[in-house]
Amino acid sequence: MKFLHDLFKKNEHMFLKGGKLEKFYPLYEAQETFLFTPKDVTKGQVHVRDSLDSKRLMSMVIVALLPCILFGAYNTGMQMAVASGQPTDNLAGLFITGLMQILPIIVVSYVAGGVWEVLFAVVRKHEINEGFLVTGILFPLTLPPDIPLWQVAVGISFGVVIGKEIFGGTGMNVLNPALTARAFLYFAYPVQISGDKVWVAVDGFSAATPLAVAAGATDKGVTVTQALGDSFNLETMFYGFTPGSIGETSTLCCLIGAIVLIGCGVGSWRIISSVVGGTILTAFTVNALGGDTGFTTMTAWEHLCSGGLAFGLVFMATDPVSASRTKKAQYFYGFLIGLLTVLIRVFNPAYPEGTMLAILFMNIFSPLIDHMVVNANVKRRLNRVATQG
Amino acid sequence: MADFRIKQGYTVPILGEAARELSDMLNPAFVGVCPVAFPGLKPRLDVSVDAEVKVGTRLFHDKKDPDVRFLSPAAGRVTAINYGPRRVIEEIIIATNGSNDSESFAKHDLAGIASMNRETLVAELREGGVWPFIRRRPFNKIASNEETPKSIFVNCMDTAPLANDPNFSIKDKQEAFKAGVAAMRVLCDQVHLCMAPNAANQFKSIDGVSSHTFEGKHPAGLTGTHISQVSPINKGEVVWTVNARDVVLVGDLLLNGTYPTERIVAVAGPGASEPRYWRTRLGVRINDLVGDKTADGEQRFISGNVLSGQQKNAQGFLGFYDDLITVIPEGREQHFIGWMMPGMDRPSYTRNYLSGIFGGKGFKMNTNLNGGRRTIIQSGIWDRVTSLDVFPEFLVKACLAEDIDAMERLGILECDPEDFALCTYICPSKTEVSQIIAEGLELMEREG
Repeated sequence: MKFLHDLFKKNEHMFLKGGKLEKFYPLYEAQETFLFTPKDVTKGQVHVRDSLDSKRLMSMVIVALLPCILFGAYNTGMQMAVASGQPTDNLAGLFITGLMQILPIIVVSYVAGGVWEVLFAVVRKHEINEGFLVTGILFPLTLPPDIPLWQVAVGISFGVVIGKEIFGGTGMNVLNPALTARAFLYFAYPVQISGDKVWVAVDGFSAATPLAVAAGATDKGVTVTQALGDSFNLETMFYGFTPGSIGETSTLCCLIGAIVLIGCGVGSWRIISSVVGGTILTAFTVNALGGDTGFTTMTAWEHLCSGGLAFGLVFMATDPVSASRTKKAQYFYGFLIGLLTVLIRVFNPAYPEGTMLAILFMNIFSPLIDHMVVNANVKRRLNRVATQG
Repeated sequence: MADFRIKQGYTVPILGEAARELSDMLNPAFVGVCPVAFPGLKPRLDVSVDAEVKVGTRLFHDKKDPDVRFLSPAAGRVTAINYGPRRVIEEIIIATNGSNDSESFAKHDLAGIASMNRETLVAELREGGVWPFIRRRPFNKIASNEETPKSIFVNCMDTAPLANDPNFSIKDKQEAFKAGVAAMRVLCDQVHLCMAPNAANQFKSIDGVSSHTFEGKHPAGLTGTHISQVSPINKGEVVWTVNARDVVLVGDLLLNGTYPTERIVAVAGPGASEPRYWRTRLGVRINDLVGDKTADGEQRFISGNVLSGQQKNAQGFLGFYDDLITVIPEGREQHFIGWMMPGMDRPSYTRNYLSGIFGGKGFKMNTNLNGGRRTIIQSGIWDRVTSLDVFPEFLVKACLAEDIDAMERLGILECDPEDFALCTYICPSKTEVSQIIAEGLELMEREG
């Protein structure tokens, strides 16, 4: 690796202040730190530092996403095979078919979003933040496998620019950029991201997601469990062999992701567990108050195993930038996401997928909840003065 | 009297703890005092180059409060007075002559100290050069005799990485410690002794004070933690703080009538080849203690610990308040795709490297930043190593925005930069949290 190292050393001067390519320092920095750990030493009074850096942190999120990505590829291939009546016993074949379908989506997301990211870093003269590595993969995983690639590019551009950069970039955004991108596509191009035609990448084939089937229970006058029937029993939904967005169908994979995130201390267990708690409690309440048939009969477990709830609560709700920061606020934040998801799903059947909106909604409110927690601390401090003096 | 358990915190897994063996280096070739190290002090020199000094000869004093004096820790000749940028006085260097000629001061016995009147005591402490060991919070500066503190906190423990253990280093100083505490009680009715649960007897059997134990990882041993648990500083209040080792010096001065100069210093760290304790002098030159007993390669010398110490070069001197010299390797080498490696050798607070699962307790840490600087991601991770009842992320935001009202509301007056050193340590974005707090405090003091 000495050769590479020397190459960087030889060319560094061009990117430093006064060099010919000074403007592109962020690009140089990104590449150099990708290949070699930085040589910077500490200044000031804290002389040693933890080994965890932003690169490692973000790559752990990608590791946590791996099960969802791999299973997403396999399931996409399998759904295609089922739709076109081909055999479904060749695991590797299905995986490769699916991968060929989703890889372009992921690549377009990374390239289109990456261009914006670099552009802003160069103009603003700051380093390229690794957070985009996560946004760039989260977004495609929430899309149907049949999505047109130009929409992927438009969506991620909107997410990065409007969802993040206009607020000042990574760390300053109010909304989760990946969800912003998805919400944008949903409202701008609903035909390609909802309905029955998009969830399996075979032209003209229509297949409803479990959530859409569940929403249909009201019209049919049956319970959700009856409507889902055998093809979407709880087990199938938990494993994720259902039509749906690329990475969202498998609750099991999301669960593995949650274990990785909590295990390595990246994801907040407070948020994850309180979303689950909020969902279960609200679902039970709705079950108890609702009728004997219709969407209100959807059980908590069916909620957790369908749609984007599991994926959203593990990977989107825990985004530290847009979530609440204080511990107490995280409980509220998570609980309300669970509650809103169920309410939006059940009482707004025009759009059965409530997770995305619930999280975006709570993203907006999370600074307010934090503010209340911090204010309580401030009041405590003032009271101390009042009681003592 | 209370026992506290601090839940937040982290033990930095650094190798090189000082072995509990004591060697003597009572007459180092050079000693030095660094006036620039006292924040806010305007030093005026009382000696010039080539002056002969005794132990306890006045070297300089504070222009604003001329009775705050700084005395020579050794007898010898002033060989240099070094100035830094804008003519701040950086160091006064004294070549020692091996003798113990001392200026003499008033002498008392234990009962005498307890019955002294406050004014006389203050005057004697100032004349005897030990007054600067007493500092005041907020702002962590030398105490002013014009203000009355709410209480005095004596810190008898140290949880910092590779810390000098007061149980070991001041175990033979029971008399002086008692005398020092008696003096503190004359200065203020309310004296709090804060110690570790395993504190030695010399700290325990003291009458007339409130003793508290603090259990937990660093920052359990920081004075900031103690104050916030026992009796937090409210607006308008002042608390004085002093280290147990410095209480010993106060006691020594009053009992013996000479300027006390002995300090037991730990030399520690992965860059020290023989980490151990030394019985030596205040202001000892680092080179005299460490010599060639360092590991190979470029080393950094720190007066104090790795979380709040001052970087020095080998010709530099032990800081006024310090009792530890940490030697760590400079980490300038680069590793190929280090962030992708399993990382058995890369210590981390989180479990993002294998070291977090299988790793041992000690690592040969160096000064590498271990990553690039990025924007702050507020993930709540700082809260996990902050023991104060404040929200560091919000406080840092207020400091960066220079919003003095918000800083005060969020509790900056209860804080000292060292309370946030662990936040700096664990921050994945490599944010200089304690530096930002220090700048916020400076602004607060200037304008607030």
